[in-house]
Amino acid sequence: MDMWGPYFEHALVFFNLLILSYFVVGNGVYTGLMVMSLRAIWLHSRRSAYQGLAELRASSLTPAVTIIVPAWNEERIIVETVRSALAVDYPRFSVIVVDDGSTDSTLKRLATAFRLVPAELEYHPVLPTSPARSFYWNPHIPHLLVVHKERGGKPDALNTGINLCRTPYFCCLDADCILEREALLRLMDPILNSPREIIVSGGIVRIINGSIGSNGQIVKVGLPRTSLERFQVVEYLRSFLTGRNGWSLLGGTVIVSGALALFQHKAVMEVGGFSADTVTEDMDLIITLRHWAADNRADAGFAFTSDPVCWTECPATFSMLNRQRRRWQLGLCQSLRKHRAMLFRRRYGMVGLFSLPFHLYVEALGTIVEFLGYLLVPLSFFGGLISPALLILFILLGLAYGGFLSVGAVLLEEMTYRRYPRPRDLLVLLAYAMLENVGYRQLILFFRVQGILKFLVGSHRWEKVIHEGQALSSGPTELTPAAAHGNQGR
Amino acid sequence: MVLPIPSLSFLTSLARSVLATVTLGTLAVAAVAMVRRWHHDRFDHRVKNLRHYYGLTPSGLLQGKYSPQCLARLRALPLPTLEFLLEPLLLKCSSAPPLAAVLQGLCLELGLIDAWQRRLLGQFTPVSLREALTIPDGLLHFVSRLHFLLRARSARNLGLLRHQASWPILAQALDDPHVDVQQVALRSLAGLREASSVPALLGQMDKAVSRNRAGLSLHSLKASLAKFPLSQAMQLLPAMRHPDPQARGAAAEILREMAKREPVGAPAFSQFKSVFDGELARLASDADPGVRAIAAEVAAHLDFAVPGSVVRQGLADALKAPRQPEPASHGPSTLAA
Repeated sequence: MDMWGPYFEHALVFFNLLILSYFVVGNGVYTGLMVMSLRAIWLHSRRSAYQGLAELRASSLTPAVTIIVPAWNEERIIVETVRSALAVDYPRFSVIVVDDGSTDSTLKRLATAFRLVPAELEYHPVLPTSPARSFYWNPHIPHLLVVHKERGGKPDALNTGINLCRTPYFCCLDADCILEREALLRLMDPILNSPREIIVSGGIVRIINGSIGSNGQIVKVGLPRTSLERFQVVEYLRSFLTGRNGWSLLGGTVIVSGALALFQHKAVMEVGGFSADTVTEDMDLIITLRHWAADNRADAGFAFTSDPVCWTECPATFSMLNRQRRRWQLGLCQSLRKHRAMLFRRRYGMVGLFSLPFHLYVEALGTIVEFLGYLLVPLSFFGGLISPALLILFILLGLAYGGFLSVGAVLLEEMTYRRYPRPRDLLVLLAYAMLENVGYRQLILFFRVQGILKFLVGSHRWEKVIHEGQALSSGPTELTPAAAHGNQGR
Repeated sequence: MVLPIPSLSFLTSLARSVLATVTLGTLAVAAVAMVRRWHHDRFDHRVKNLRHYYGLTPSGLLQGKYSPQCLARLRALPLPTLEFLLEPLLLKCSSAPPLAAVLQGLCLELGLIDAWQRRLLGQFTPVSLREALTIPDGLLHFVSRLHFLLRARSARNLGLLRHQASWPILAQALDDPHVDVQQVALRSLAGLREASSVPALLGQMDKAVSRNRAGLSLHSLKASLAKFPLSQAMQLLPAMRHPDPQARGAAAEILREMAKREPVGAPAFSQFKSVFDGELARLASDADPGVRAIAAEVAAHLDFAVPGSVVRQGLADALKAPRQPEPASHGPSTLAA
């Protein structure tokens, strides 16, 4: 003990307590969210037995929606994505694909697949964007418009789509996503049936890897082959079924995946559209809308529903996963810094008092604490501050609790939607849920620390995740009649 | 040095207990997931066999394949099981009206319609625990806080079967304590299109515009009322003179939707036009720009005798504050213009 100076020893003790508090707060909140989600998702899946989707579909009063698909160098999957958007089951919708200055053959593939021809349009942006170069359309698919613009980044591409949107609601759809046919109806349901004015409605994102797609739709759901992808399946289940749902129930939603979200056009225009201040423009917009709603119209609601689904391809390699998680962590930190004025302010309700502080403490600072914990807890052990039994117990407890939360998310899936039909898939998911905290969690932590370092050095680079497009490119290339004509202007 | 923590032995035993609890909890949760999957698969198989055995398939029912013996056997089944067997068929009724007629007869004979009506009124038939355990969600019968799920399903079933005589009970369910039941009853009433239920719906619209954050949404009321035939438009007159602009605007929208389904030269349309010409002209000059906008759209759409200047003003209001624009058609003519 002589080698340890008293200050360093105190610091270590303090740090161990910090880790303990992080462990208790983080896991306590996540357990609470899981319990609440369990009840809410169970109820929602029962309610779906009498959900009036058929009435929404048939009603001429159901508001029209524009699906905005921003794309940059997405030649591998863009055609399937647009095909899935065109095949959506919704009474009145249009699709705007914004090609954000792609340098590959994204535009060419779209033009070939949908037989597009140039259109003479004038573009008068309300939200400032980089200039649009050209427009393309097909008179036989009048609800599809492709815009080719100068590169300005994803928020800029989305804002271009918002400028061209003529409907009261728009849906953002990432260019690497497949939209389920009923997703828009399900997203619209809470908006139309709530006596409150709902300005954002979000759904869940599931991983497409391992599933088989055809003609813009998933025809067979399966699990991916590699462990890296399977861990992400479990992680997405936990994040969406437990996390997002739980926060929504508490009224503290700050993250709605930009891969699938329905926004009120008027409200988004009021806040100036998507901002390029952060690399996670979706999270930033939600918090901005929260800020604006609290300052201007207290009754604006944010809905999250667990059954509108879009399928996305998760990174299959370590380098791509690293890019993705680095960006998410960087975006989280940037958003928290940008909206720091909302922190601990009663005016912003649950978001200001609980949700944002939790994200700051557990998701942002917790990353550093956890990372340092892997270094300093062994140091405490070697310094004699922690007994070997306690150290081992603490490590096991951390692993077991993480496993418990992940297994809970798999149970949620099983109790409600059962998207993975084979019994073997369930067993595999349970096994991966139990093992997720051994190796994978530490890997993700390492990537997240890199994101924080990027934040600290002031980086603002949007790192693109390149997708393989394997699951999406397996189908035939012909348009279905429904996609070509079915839903427009009914 | 003194650690600011209780004691090492206490912490160790606490951590050990928590670890044991969490591990057992994880294994229990995993076991529940597996048992549920097994139970669900087994139940699916059993129900499939039962449906086949009783001839409860759409084609079987449409061909009148269920015999008196079969009916007697079905009568012997507990109510929750019967409902569960018939539910998938009920869901097909909206796309197959002949099936709805056959199923309505079958459900009447089996006493299901009576049971659903009573359930909507809050009178639940007692179900034994053994019966409840034979079907998924059977335990709902024992949790009164979740009875709204059963009431909502009953309202849905009555609507799917187009059981006209149930409209007073459905209208009563518009005031159910749970909003889900209200919503489903509203949709079922809209499906029945019973003229006598319109005042009840308009009463709900009155509540929707006057209260905040509770009950039925104005949109769902509009969508339901818009399904009624144009012959019921006269009942909208009080709503068009409502002091709340939201109600006046909603009435104008409902009118537009009702009129859109009727051919312009049809007798119902002419009769309606003679009554509503003046009303729409008044709404097109309403103090509220939102109401003016909708009224002008309706007047322009239906070719009513509203002065052109009034329509132009209303359409200008509509451009300023579009309530529900038409879907974007991105042809060059639209955007270039």
